Amino acid sequence: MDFLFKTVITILGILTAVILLSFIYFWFQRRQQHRKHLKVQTYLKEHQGQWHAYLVHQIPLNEPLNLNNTTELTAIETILFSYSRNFSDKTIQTQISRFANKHLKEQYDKMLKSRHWNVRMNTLYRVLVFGITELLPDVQKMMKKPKSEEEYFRILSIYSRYLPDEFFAEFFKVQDRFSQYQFKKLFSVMTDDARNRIIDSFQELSTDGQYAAIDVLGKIREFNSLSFLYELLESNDTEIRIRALKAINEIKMIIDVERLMPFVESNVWQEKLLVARLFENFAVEKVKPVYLKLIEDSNWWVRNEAARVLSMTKEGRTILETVIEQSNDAYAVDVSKKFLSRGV
Amino acid sequence: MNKMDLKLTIVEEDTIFVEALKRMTEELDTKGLNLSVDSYSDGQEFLLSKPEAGNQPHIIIINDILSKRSGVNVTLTLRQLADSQRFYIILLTQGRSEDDMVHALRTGVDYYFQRPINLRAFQATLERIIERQTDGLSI
Repeated sequence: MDFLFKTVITILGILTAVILLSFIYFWFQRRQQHRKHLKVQTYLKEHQGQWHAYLVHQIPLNEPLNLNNTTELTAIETILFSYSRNFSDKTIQTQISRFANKHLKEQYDKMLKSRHWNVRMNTLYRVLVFGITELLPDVQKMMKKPKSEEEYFRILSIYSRYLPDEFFAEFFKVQDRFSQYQFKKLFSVMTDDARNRIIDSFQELSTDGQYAAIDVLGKIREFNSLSFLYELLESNDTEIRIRALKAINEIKMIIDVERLMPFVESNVWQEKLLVARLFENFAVEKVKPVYLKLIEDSNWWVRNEAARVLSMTKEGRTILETVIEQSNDAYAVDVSKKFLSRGV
Repeated sequence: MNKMDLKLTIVEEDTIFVEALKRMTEELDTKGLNLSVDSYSDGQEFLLSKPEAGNQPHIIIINDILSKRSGVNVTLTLRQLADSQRFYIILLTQGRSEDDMVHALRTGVDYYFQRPINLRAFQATLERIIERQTDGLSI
C-alpha cells in the first residue's frame, strides 16, 4: 500500500514537472518569437526607405548587410516577398533577382541540402519567387533524385519559369499525373514565351491540361491568345468551347463576330449565356436580333442574361419595352419587366 | 493662392506594401495641392476614422480582401453618403473574376487594379486623377 502510494506520488510529480517544463519551454519560445518579431519590425521601420530606393530606383544599398543575423535576413526576405507579390514592374523583379543572386545564394544553397523537407521546400519557393538563377544547377541536381512529390512539382515550377527547354522535355513525360489545379499553377508562373509554346502544343496536352491552359489564358487576360481562343470555338468538346468563351469574356474583346453567331442557336445553354454576355461589349443595335432571340430562350439563365445586358443601356431598355409590348412569350415579357423595374 | 486640400487614404493589411505606396505618393506631382496621406489596416478601422467628416476630395486606395469589412463593403457604405461623389475609390484586387469586377464597379468603385500592380502605371494613374483635380474638374 505504502509502495503504491509512493509510486503514484512519484508519477504525479514527474508529470507535473514535465507539464511545468513544457510550459516554460513554450513560454520561452513564444517570448523569443515575439522579440524577433519586434526586431524585424524595427528593421523594417528603419530600413524600408533604403530598400524602396534600391528596388524601385536602383539606388545601391549603402549599409553593410549582416545576413548571418536571422532577424535581418527575415526582415529582408519579408520586404522581397512583399515587393515581388505586389509589384509587377520589371525593374523591381530584376532588382530582387540581382540582390538574391548576389547575397542570398550561398545561404540558400546550404538550405537546399537540408535534411528537413520544409526547409528544402521553402528554399525552392524562394528560388522561384526571387529568381535565383545561379542556383539552377543545384535545382537540376535535385530534379535527378527528388525526395518527395511536392519537391518534384516545385522544381518543375522553377523549370517552367527559368529552364523552358528542360521543362518541356520533362513535362510531356509526366503530365498525366497532374490535376487541373497543378496545371494551372504551372501555367501561371511560366514566362509568356513558354506559355506560347503551351499554346503551340495544345493538342499534346491531356484533357485537364487543355482545360487549365484555357482558364489561365483568360485569367491573365492574355490579349495575344485571342485568335487561338477563337479557334477553339470550333472544337467538338463542349467543355473546351465553354471555357474558351469564358476566357474571351475575361479578355472582353470581340475580334470575330462570325465565329460567335452560331452559338446563339446552340443546344448548350451555357454557350448562349456566354455569347449574350460577350455581346455586352458591342453596340446593342448591331446585335438586336441576337438579343430578341435569346430573351425568348427556353432557359431561364439565358433569358435573364439577355435582359440584364439590354437593361444596361438606353437602346437596350428600348428593346426591352418593345419585347413587353410585342412579344407573345410570357417569360420574355416577365424578365423584361423585371430588369426594366430595376433601373440602370 | 490657396492650395486645395486633397486626402489620400490607403486601406491595406500588408504594411510593407502600404509603406511602398506612401513613398510613391511622395513622388507625385502635387503642385497646388495640400495632399495628406493616411493608412488603415482594415475597412472597419477606416470607417471608424469618420471619413464622412470634411468636404475635401478624397482618394481611397483599398484592398478588396480585408479582415474586417472588404473593399466593396466599404465602398457600399461610402456611396450611401450624401456627398459620396467626393470619394474616388481605387480597388486593388487579387485575380477576381469578370463578374466580381463588374459587381465592384456597379457598387461604386471608380477604378480597379489587379495585383501585382505596375507601380509606374499606378503612379501615372494617380497623377492623372490629381491633375484633373487641379484643373478644377470634379473627380
